[in-house]
Amino acid sequence: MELDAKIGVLNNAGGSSEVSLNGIKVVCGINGPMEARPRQELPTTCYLEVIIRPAIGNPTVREKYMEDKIKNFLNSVIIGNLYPRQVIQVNLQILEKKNNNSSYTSDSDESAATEDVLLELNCCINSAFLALVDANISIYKAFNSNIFTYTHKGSLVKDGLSEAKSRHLVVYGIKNNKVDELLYGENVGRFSEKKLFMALERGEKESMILHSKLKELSVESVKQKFVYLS
Amino acid sequence: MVKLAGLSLNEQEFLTDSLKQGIRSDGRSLDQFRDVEITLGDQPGYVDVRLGKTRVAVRVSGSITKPYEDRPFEGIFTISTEIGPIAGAFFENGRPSDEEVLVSRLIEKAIKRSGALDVEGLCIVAGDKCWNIRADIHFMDFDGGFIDASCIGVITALQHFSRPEVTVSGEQVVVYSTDEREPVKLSILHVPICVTFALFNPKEKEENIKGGADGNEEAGEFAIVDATMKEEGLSNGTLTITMNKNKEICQISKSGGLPAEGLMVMDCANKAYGIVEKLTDQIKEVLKQ
Repeated sequence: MELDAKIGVLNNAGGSSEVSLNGIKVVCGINGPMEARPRQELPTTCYLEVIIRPAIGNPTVREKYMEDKIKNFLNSVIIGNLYPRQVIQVNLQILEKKNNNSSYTSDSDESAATEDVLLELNCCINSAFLALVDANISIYKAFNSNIFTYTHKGSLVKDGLSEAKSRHLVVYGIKNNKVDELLYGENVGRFSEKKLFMALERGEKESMILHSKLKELSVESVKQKFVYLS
Repeated sequence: MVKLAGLSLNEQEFLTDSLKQGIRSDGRSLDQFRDVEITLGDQPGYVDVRLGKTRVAVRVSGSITKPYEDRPFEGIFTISTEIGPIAGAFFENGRPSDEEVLVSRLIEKAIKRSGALDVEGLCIVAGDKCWNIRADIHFMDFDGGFIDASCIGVITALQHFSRPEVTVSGEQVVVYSTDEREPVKLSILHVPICVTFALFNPKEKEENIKGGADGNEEAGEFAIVDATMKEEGLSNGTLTITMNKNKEICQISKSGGLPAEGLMVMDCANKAYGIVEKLTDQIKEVLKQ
């Protein structure tokens, strides 16, 4: 499904974005860099706080897991030594999630919930990138996330279908308009090594396509905020 | 709410002085409610409410559980209100401040305790199975009026939501998917709307404690409708009135300690009715689409 994104949707947050992708809608708001509480303070770098809130119910271990994953790779992207002893807070609120029967949940739906982790992570990561740009936080490289699915027939398709043999989340860093390195990958299901490499290769191409889209959006946001003399 | 976040003394004085003269910083009159923008989501039960710069998203969902033992004939209705730092860095994660507790209790009182949702209609098998309707309020942007916005959001989402059809045959309960059978709307008994007034005392601080009306002196307190974050921070108290279109007051709550004259409260209630009428019509209009 097509990515639909807006930048600067919130007023109180330092930077914000709203992204709809694969039937999931996420709002990301970034606060900071701001003063850290003594407990969080790191002398040479910034403390990153990632908070994910689900659409329905209270945050559980599932959200904590996603927070940890996002935090780990964001730490390698944000130029932390520019913000020593400060905290950057990344808030992700999941608003809508399209299931077949999302308004009705029962306990047996939990296996489906773990499947959705990849889809949610995918949307969260792209939204976090746009919000970071909006918040003017220095990063080493741009990044974006794509999701690929191997269907039961063995063909590789972009975006998460509900019926899948395996699913692959691929996050590439992009530097100087070129794919720089693989920042983060997450795979669910049964697949061979060869298939994984094929998915990664496809990810490289797709991530450049997505990057040009995100870049267009972020250029627009920067233009609105700063006036450059030509 | 958030006490004077980043307001300088000059600005505080300027704002209160202009309010005394009946001028607000955003150009509204003292008894004008901000424009409300209600957006319905693709899925039933998802509503996005914007009240000026304040933004609240409400998600209503349902599941089947066992009813409370002391209320076997009733379904369960819960409202979850947790304000996260996405609404503003001054809200701390996982540690609700006193004001946040007040917000959630007020919403609970306004909607749940006023009986807006017919919980008896949520019963499937008495004492064994019932619907658990849950409203999650996501606060996203704060510029005053959280109570008013979330009340509008919850009541709209409840009307927008529909639960799957259920049939009971003997011991068995069958839940039909939305494709099989038309989902059922919840039964809403009335539509309560909250209107919050911010109270100001134009005179000395002592008067807050003593009360000014000692016969020959006029009290002079005044109320403004739908305060923004700055106005809320400056105010000496708030008055929240919950009403429905039948001119019934469901709930009234005054906090902040500023004594208010009875007549002023009456006046506020009258003003609130006008706003409630307008908002109820707007909600109806939105839901028609």
